[in-house]
Amino acid sequence: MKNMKFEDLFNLFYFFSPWLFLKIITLFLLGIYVCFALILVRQISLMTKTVYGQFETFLKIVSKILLITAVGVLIISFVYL
Amino acid sequence: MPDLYVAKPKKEVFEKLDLPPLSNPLSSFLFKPSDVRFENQEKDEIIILLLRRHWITNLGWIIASFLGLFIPILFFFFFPIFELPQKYKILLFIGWYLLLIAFIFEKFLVWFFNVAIITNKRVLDIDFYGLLYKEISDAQLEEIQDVTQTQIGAIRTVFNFGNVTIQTAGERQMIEFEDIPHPDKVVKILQDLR
Repeated sequence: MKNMKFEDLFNLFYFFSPWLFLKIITLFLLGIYVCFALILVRQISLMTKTVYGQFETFLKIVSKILLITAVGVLIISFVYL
Repeated sequence: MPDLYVAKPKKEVFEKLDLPPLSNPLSSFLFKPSDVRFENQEKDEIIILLLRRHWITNLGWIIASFLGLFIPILFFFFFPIFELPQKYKILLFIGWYLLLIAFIFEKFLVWFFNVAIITNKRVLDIDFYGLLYKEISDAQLEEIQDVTQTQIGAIRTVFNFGNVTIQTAGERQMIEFEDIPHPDKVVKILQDLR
């Protein structure tokens, strides 16, 4: 940054693409969602250890489907956006 | 030598209480659920009541989720000038519904796993606040000093739900079961068990 010339700064803004910026933001938000889905899977495993006997398998499957979907959307967005 | 006093076997009060059917696992009031167990349950410990918040307390988020289903459609209908490339529009749709699913799932989980349990030995209050905070408090039945029932407001009276506060002599002095159905029956059962 110290040796950055005016032309470099100009080029940076000239070639700046708002769509690239939008893509980065989208991927970042989807990354947060994947983290949330991971926490959900872990949390359901803890919850079903606390009280168990009802819907354990169903809830675990739903949480894993959500995680797989989130990862899938993240990969598709990375490739196609 | 004849017995001076022989206590008569205590007839279970539950039979007189006209308790609701037990088959629905999504019920807020499960009497003697045979298929449910909990962490640190002792071998000879039997669950007498498993309680959740009354289903009507979920109405707010259920209505919000239902309305949320139509928000993307309304958004693109009323804001056609908001021109995005097709792929971003599709992603916005998918993103919104992913958020909605997460919201519904989280609300359901918090309701489903926030339970109050009364066993033949103790009372337990298991609370999950959001997804990252868990609190379990329990008290032995002998430690229970006072049980109070509170039912405030028209909705609680109409749908017959309220709070039951249990004062104990233990380390944790108060255990509260919030918005549980049939609080009168819960108090009666606790009185009988003590």
